[in-house]
Amino acid sequence: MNVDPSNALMRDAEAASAEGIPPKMVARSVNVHYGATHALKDVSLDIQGYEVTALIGPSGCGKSTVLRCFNRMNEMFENTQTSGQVTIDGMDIYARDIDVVALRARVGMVFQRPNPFPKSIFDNIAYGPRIHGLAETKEDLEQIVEASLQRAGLWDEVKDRLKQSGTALSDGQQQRLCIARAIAVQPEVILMDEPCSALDPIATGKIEELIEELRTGFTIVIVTHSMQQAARVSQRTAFISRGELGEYGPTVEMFTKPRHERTKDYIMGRYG
Amino acid sequence: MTPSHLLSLGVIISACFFLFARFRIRAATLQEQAPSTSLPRFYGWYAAVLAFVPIFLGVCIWVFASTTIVEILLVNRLDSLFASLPEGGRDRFLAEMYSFLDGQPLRTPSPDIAAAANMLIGLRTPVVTTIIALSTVGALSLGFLALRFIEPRFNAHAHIDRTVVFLLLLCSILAIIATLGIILSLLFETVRCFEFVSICQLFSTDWLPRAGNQTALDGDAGKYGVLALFSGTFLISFVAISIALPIGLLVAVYLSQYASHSTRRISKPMLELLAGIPTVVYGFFAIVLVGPFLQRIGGFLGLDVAPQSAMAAGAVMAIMIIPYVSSLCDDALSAVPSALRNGSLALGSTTAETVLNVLLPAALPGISSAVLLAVSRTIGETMIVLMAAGLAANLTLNPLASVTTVTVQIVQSVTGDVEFDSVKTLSAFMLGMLLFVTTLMMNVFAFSLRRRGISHGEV
Repeated sequence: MNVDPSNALMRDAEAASAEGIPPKMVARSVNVHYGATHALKDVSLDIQGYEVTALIGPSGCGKSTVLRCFNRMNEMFENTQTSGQVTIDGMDIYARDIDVVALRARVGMVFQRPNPFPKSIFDNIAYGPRIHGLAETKEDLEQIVEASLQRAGLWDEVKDRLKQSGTALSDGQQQRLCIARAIAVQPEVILMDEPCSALDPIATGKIEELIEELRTGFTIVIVTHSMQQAARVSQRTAFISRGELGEYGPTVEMFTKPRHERTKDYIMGRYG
Repeated sequence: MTPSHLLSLGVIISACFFLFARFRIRAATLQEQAPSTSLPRFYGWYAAVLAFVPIFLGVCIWVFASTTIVEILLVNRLDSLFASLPEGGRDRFLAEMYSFLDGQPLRTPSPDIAAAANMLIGLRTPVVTTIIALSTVGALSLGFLALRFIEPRFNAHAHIDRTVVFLLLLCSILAIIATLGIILSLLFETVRCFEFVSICQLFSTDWLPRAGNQTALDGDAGKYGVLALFSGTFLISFVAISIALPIGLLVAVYLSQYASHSTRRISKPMLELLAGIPTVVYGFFAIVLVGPFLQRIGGFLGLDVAPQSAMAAGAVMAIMIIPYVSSLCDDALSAVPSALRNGSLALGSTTAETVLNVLLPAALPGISSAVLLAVSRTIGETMIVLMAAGLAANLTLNPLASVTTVTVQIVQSVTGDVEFDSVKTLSAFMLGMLLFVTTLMMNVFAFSLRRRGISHGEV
């Protein structure tokens, strides 16, 4: 075993991966610069399939940046430079010949604030399938919409008013609508950027239940500022601080016996 | 003494009271051993402002009302004389007297007029002296009254604050009054115009205004059907918008969604440069370049293009309003929350799909209001059409024909040797009123659309 400290992170990443099963997405030595700011420093992380991976850490530590590396949304900002390697099923998503649009159909995203389009509930869900041509007929499309809303646990609440505007729903319903919208494209991975931070506790509870259910069909990466939420919904947790991967491992271990002093301090609420 | 002398006197009086009041409050605080509520300078300002008010009123009366006052006094004295004059004789008498006073008599003045003029001059001095005396006495008494009020417990700061609010209010009221004045003068002249022209006559296509001296020959006041003028105006607007909207909108989409920061920084000011070109230059451009060019193209295609056509004017006007349209559309697109844009991109749609399916629908109220504002600008535009569209009032939908617009006819009616009582001149006011109502309705509609768009974005 190599004891070089620079490989400690790598060891973390590998220790976290389940024996035998190759990870769904892999980040290796990822560096992100926003202009002069070095936002991510040499982050390596394995995302295991059909699990929920939580990214925790103090505000501004770069956890959302890590998340956005997986669907290349960091490129939306001016002057962003990303180096290193990120793969999905072994395929490099930063390779020259990769179609970002196709990648984002495989790796969906749910944002911090619910952002339904100012269209009907039906059209919100049908948006992705329409642009990707997932439905041949009108019936297909209706079926996709219904299945997605069912999956997001929203169907019973909205089935009678699919023509109503998506923006008229409550915040919690809007967020589940956004999850349904992401599901409708049939992605393999769903990235969630603090999906509950704008919601009340009851709506948060519903989303957490939903995440638990979705794990059976999707690989989920969730950024959260709530340690309780990370503990409740995730199987693995990565602690990120100051743009670096602090610690990564099974959630249970992380919260019971953290290996690093800083992780322990953060979890105990003494740092952050 | 002139009004400006009185004004200077007022400034001097106010300055003295400023110093008095400041000295007084300082003395009072020392004497009573109590701190004053406000800083000394506010007591100074309080007295100064109070002393200045009568002077200011006096100057206003002097400038705006003294002539009228003198005239009323004169008319009162000459009551018996005017009673003997025929209908309208009084106004003519006064007009003759004033022109005599100006040193440009219309004809050799009768002794009556010369006497009246002398009497007028004699009346002026007492009136002006009264104004000066009253305002000076008023200033001094109000100033001393202010000094009596001044004591440490008196909150001069609050009073000054109220005065400032009053001044601000006065300025906005002045602006509103100016607008109302313009509207009212348009309205009155329009009503006068309708004494000669029946409203039904407006809804015909013949526009043949005739000057007063022509009317005097055969009693024909001309024809005042505005349909052809408005059709010409809207035809040119339509041509301009059909060219400017697609280009302006696409420019806005490019600048707001695709262009890099540096491209945007260079190209946006360059585009806005177009908006700074005087319209007469555009008109020149239309008449020298675009008109002949269109004629030549028409010649190749076997079309009959008039040298001055709606197409040429519309095309050049389109260039003029492209920056306007694109900047308003850019605002509308930028007002769409970026969360919607990111949401769409994260679902795997391209930027083009995002623009088409999410951004444009969400920005539609803003874009519609941009179109309406641009249309009302093209309707009011004068110089380009004056130079490039022609004068013939044709009712046509053919953009290659020569048409005329409302604004061009207004210019035609009030330039050159015209007397201000003829129907032709009055018709300019009537057209102005119609034009004003049209653009006002469009602007109101555009702003309501825009407001709806904004409240929609907040949902």
